[in-house]
Amino acid sequence: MRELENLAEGSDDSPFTYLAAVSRAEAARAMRDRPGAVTWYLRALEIYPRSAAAAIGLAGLDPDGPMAFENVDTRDLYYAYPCTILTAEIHKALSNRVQGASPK
Amino acid sequence: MKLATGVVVLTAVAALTAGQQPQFRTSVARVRLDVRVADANGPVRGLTRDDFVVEDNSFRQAINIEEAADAPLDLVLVAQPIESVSYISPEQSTRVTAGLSAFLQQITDRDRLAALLAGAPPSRLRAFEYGPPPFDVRAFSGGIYAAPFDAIVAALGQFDRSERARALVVFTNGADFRSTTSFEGVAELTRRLGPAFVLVGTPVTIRETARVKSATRSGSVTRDSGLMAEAGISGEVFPATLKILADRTGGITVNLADGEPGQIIADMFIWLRTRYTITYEPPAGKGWHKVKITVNRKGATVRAREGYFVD
Repeated sequence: MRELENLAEGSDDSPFTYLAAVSRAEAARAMRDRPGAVTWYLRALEIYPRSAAAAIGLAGLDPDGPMAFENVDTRDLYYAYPCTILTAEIHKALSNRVQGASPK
Repeated sequence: MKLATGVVVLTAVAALTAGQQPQFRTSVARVRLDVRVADANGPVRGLTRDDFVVEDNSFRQAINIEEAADAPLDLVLVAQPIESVSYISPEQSTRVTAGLSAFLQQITDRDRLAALLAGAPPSRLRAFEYGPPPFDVRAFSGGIYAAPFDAIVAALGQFDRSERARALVVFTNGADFRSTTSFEGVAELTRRLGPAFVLVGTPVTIRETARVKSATRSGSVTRDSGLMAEAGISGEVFPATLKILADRTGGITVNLADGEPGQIIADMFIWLRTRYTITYEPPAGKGWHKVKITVNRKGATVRAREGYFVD
C-alpha cells in the first residue's frame, strides 16, 4: 500500500503516477475507507484534471451531485488497462495483493 | 467468466420533494415510492389507498396515492457497446441489438431520454431531451471493452429533480472490464432513495459435471451405496448480482430470451408506465428504513423498493 502511495505522490505527474493514484483510491474503496478514497481520487484529478475514472469514482462516493460529462476525457488511460471482470472475489484478491506489497 | 447478456432497467422508485437535490439525498422530507402491482393478467388498476398497507420500519404509515396508467417517462439509457456483447456471447448480440432498437422505438414525444454508452470509459450520447433520439442502435458501437458499473454511476447523476416516472435502463451482460466502481459500490447506491433496478436479460447457461455419491432407494428407505458417480448439471440462471440490484430496489427481471425482443420491450414499457405513486411523511430515525407494502388483492404481487437509508 505504501508503495502505491509513494508512486502516486510522485512529482512527475506521469501516467503511471496517475494510475497509481486511481489504484490507491480503489484499494481504499475496497477497504471501505471513504475519506482515503476521496483523497486519492482527488490526487488523481490533480494529476489529470479530465480523469473520467476519478470523476466517476467521486460521483459514486457522493451521489448527491450531478455527473458532468463535459469535463471528462473519453480517452482516459485508466480504462486502457488489461481487462478484468470485477467480482467481489477479484476485488478481495487485488486488495490483498496491494496490502501485501512491501516497500523496497 | 461468462455472464449473461441483459438489460438492467433502473426505475426511479422514490424521488424527493421539490426543492431538494436529486434523488439520492438522504435527509428525507417525504418518502415517495413508485409501486407496481400486477397479477397473472398484467398490471392491476383501480386500487385506492385503502387497498394498500405500507409499513416503514414496521410502523404503518398514513399514505397518499396516485395512479398513472400511461405515464410519461424520464429515462436514462445505458448500453454497453454491441461489440462487447459479441466479444463474450456472439449468440446474444442479435437479441440485444433487437431489444435496444425496440427500446428506442418506444420513446414518445412526451418522454425525456438521456443516453450513455457504457464503454471504457463511459461516454454520453445525449443529455436529457424530449422525444426520440436522433440516432439508432448503431450509436451503441464502441469497441469490445465495457464499464457498465461506472456508466451506472454516471447515469444516476443525469437525473434531475423531476417527479415524473423515472427509469434507468441498462443493457449489459453483467461483465465489467474496467470500472473503478465495483458491484458493491453500485449496490451501495441502491440503498439510497433512488432508482429501482429492473433486469431484463438472457440468462447464463450453466453446465457442470459433479461427482456425487450414489444411493439405492427401497420404498421410503434410501441407502448410501458407497459408490461415486458423475452427474451432469445444467440450467439457466440470471447473473445473481444484477438480480440482487433489481430485487433490492423494487425492479423486475425480464428475460430477453423469453420471446420476441420487440414484444418483450413493449411489455416492459407498459410495466414502466403503469404505476402507483405512494407518498408519506417518513418516520424519524437514521439508518435503514425497511419498507413493506402489501395490497388486499388476491393473486397480486407488489414491486417496490425494499427500503431506504437515512444518513
